[in-house]
Amino acid sequence: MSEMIEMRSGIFRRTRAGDVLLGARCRRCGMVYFPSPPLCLACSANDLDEIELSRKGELFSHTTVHTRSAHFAPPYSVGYVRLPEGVTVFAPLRTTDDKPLRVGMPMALEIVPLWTEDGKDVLGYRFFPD
Amino acid sequence: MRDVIVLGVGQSRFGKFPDRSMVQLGCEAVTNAIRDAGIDGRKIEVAYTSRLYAEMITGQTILKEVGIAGIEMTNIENACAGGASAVRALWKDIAAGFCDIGIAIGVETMTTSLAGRVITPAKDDLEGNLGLTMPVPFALMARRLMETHGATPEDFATVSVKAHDAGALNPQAQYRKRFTVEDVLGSRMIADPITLLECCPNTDGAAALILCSSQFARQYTKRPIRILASTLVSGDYFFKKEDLTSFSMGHKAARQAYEAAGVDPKDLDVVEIHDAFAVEEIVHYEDLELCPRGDGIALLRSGATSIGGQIPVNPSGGLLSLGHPLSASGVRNVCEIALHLRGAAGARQTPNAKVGLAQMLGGYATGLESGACSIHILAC
Repeated sequence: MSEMIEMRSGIFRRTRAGDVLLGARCRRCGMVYFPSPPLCLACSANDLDEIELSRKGELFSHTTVHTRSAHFAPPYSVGYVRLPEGVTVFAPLRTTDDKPLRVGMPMALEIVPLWTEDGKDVLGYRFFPD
Repeated sequence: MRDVIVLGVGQSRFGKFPDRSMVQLGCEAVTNAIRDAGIDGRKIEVAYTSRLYAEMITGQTILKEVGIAGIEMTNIENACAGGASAVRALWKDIAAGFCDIGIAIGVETMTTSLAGRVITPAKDDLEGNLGLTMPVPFALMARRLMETHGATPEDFATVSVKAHDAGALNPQAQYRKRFTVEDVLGSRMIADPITLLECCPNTDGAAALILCSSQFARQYTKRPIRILASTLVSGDYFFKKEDLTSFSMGHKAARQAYEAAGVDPKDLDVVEIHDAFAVEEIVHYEDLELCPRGDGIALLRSGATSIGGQIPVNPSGGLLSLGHPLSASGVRNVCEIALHLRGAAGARQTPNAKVGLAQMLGGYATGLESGACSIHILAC
């Protein structure tokens, strides 16, 4: 098994309860972010708590792309998933034959190797139909 | 603030010209604008030049070929809004009285700047690394319009058909070929529901605009075209967006422009907008208040925004058909509005055009809705 690295440290975690994205909540105004900003972008408070975001959300929009991107060969699917905390996350989407993508469908998160870099698997996040 | 007048407009040919340099394209546009203004180029006091993919001091290297050097020159980048940002910078200088006449230039050599280059996102560009290539935000916008507005793939194709119908009438356009809705839908899928013919082409080209004070203009024209308003607003945070069906910066720039100009959207006779992807035209109708929020599809289907309609949008052919040399487009579409107000737009002329609006926007970064939007309102 090849060595694994995270695409960016501190933005997700694999817990016993499942894979989660790490967001931030402002202690002053309650705004929730992903990824975590250096300070609250809404009220400028320098007082953010790390939070584990919900693992499940709703598909807000999606597309299947037929041109190459930096790490994915066509065709690949991406979209926005809205989490119950009010955060809209852009992510790759794993599609399944029995559940074609449609706006509003329930989605779940997984942390998996998304591409390789210098022979190392790069861990990132994506959603799939729940 | 002083009135600012459009004295000269100029464009190079738009198309794929891998053998033509930025200097050559820029010189063609500048020479045309100087000839159109009827001035000696050495009268120009200030120059702003916009380009995205280029070496340093592009403006100096272009203008030295036409006898202009030793004046104030600045080079600007603001993604697709770069050209319009150059126009605005010059407008501010003249309105404030820092100078009496100047030139705004936009130039891009897309075929050679991007040829063979693998576009790799920066290491810290989270969404770029996760597959957000350029058509993606617009494909996701299209999907939302289908959900919220009842838009169909045929509607998006109709925008492209409309653009190419207009471009066929414009001798400066890169593509002068008409297409049917079936042609557009049948072209290669890029990012569903966006097809190839709903994406602007890569274009080499340049545009130039000469602005001056009303006092300066008196010696050269009896029918001055004024810039009533010039606005520039950067993209707001993505997290503030309720949906993908509006650019808050686009609406804000429009509101500010209408208020500064004392113009109601209903007063507009002709409009030029950023249509790098067909779908976004619907969003711009609503952000520019050409129709009530939610009625963009109905406005398109009514034919009001076609040539001959009540409010033609992109009679030039737009970026889809005329072509999109990124930084040139924001200069070029102000030139287009000026041509309509002069009654000099040829076969694509908007009859009796008195007031027109040019909008340009673009740029993308994780966490922002977009980069910048700039709007100019002109009147004769």
